[in-house]
Amino acid sequence: MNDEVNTSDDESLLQFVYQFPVAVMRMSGAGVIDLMNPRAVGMLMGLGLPFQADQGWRILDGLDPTLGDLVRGHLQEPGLVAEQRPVERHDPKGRVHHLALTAIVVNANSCMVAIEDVTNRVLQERQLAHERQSLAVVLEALKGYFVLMLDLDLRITQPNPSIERMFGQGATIVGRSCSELLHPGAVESVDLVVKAELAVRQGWASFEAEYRCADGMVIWGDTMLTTIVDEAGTPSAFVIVARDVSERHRREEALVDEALTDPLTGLLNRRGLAARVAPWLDEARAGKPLTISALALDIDFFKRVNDRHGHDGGDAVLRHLGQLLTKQFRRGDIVARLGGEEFVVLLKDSPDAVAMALAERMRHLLEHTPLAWKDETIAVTTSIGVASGAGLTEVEPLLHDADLGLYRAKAEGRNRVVCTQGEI
Amino acid sequence: MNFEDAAGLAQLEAMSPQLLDELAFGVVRMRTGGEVVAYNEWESKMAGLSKERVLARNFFVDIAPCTNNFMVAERFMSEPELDATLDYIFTLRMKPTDVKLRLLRLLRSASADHMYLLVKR
Repeated sequence: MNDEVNTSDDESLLQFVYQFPVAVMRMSGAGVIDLMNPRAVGMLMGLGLPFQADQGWRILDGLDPTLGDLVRGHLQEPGLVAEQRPVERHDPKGRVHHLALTAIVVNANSCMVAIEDVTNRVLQERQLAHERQSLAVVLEALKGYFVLMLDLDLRITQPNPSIERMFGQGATIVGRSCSELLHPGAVESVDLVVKAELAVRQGWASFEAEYRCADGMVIWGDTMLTTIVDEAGTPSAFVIVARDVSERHRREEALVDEALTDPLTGLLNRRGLAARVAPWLDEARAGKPLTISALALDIDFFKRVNDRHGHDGGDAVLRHLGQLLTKQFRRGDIVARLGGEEFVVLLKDSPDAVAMALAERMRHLLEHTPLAWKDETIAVTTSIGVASGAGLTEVEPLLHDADLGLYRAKAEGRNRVVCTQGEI
Repeated sequence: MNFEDAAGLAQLEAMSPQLLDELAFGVVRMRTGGEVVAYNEWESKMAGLSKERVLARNFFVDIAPCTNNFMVAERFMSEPELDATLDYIFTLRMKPTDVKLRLLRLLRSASADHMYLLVKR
C-alpha cells in the first residue's frame, strides 16, 4: 500500500470524480472496464447486475441489449451512439428504475457510457401527463362550462376539444385572440384588455360576456379570468373559465320582454318606453346636450274601424300600424304603443326637419298601404304630432307637447302631421 | 485483529484512531447516519483521499456513492444489528477493484453507537 502521495490538486480532482452525480464508465472494445466512478458501481450493483470488470459487454447487454449492439456496431465510427436512451429496469427488490443511457465511442478500443437514474423525473412527467389527460377529460365532460388557456397577450395557447367544437370553424383556434370570440354585437361590449389588467392587479376578474360560436349562436358566459403566475410571482398566463348562462339570460330577457312589451303589436309598452328612454335621460343629466324628438300617432276614426270590422279588425289594424312603424324606424329608435290606438316614436338627435320628414313619410305610408284583412281591405290614415326638446331630463312634457300637436292635427282635419316646435 | 474476527465490533470500539491506522485493512467508523468519525490509513491510501477530506462527511453520500444502495447503505439504515460480509466492487481511483466488505453494527454497543465498514482487497 505504498501508493504515491497525492498532491492536493489530484486529491481534489479525485474527490470531484468520486462525487460526480452521473454514473460513468469507460470500457475497451474487448469489454474491459478500466475506469468507472463510484456512482456507476452503486447503480449497477443496486440494479443487481452481475459485476465483473472484464465483462463490460455483459453489463451493457444487461442494461439494454439494443444499446450493446449499437455500440458494438459503431466501434469503427467514433461519436455519439446513444443519447439519453430510456431504459426501464427492476432492482432485486422489485422497484422500477428509469434510466437514461448515453454512449460515446471514443475510438475502436474505448467507449464511454453514462447512466442516469431519471426515475423521479419520469414519474413526475408521467404524473403531469396523467394530470393533463385527466384535465382534458374533465374539460371535455364539463357540460355548460368552457375553459380557455391564454397567454399574456390574450391569445389562446392550448387546444381542447370542447372549445375547438364551439369556436373553431374546422380550424384550430390556438393562436387566435380571445377577443375574437366575443360577440361583436354584444349589448354590453367587454374590453378584455381592461379585464386582464384588473386580473393582474387582483389575481382575477369576473364578468359576463357574450361569446359567438362558430355556428353563429351567441352564448352568455359568466366568466372568471384568472392570472397564472410563475415561481417569482410574475404573471405568465391567463385562464378563462366560463359558465354558459345563456338559458338564464334568455329567461330573464323573456321576462323583461313580457313586462315591457305590448303583446298585441310586439312594440314596447309604456313601461318599455320608460326603460328604453332612461339611458337617454341619464346622458342629458350627465350634461350631454341631447335632443329628443317625439312623434305621437293615432289612427283616424279608429272607432269606426272597430264598429265596422269588429275588435278583431281593430286589432289587425293596430298590428298593421305596428309593423309599418317597426319597418320605418331604426333599431335605435323607440317605438311604443301606449294603449288603445295611441302610438309614440322617440328619436334621438334627429334634426326637427328629419323628424317631420319621417312623420310625413309614415303618414303617407299608412295612407297608401291598406290592410288586406280576411276578404276585405281596411284603409286607415294617421294623424301625427311632432315635438322636440333639448337637454330633457323628463320625457313626459315632450310627450304632452307631441300630444298637443296630435290634437291640432285632428282638429285641422286628420291625416296630417303637425309640429308644435317653438310653442313649447 | 483480523478482518474476519468474530468479536470485531467490540475490539474496534476499543481502538483509538491511531491503533486503527495500524490495521492491514480499511476501517470506516461512522455515526448512525453515516457521518465519518474515523478513517484509517489503509483506507485513505486505497481511496486516495486524506483523512481531512473525509472526516465529518457523510460516507454514503459524499465519499463513496458506490455504497449508497440497498446492498450497503440501506442495510446500515434498516438493520439495527448487522454483521455481514459481502463481495463488492470499489472504484479506487476510478479503477474497479474487487473488495470484500464487512458491515458491522450493534445498536446497543458498550460505548457509542457506531457503525463500521471494513474493506479488504
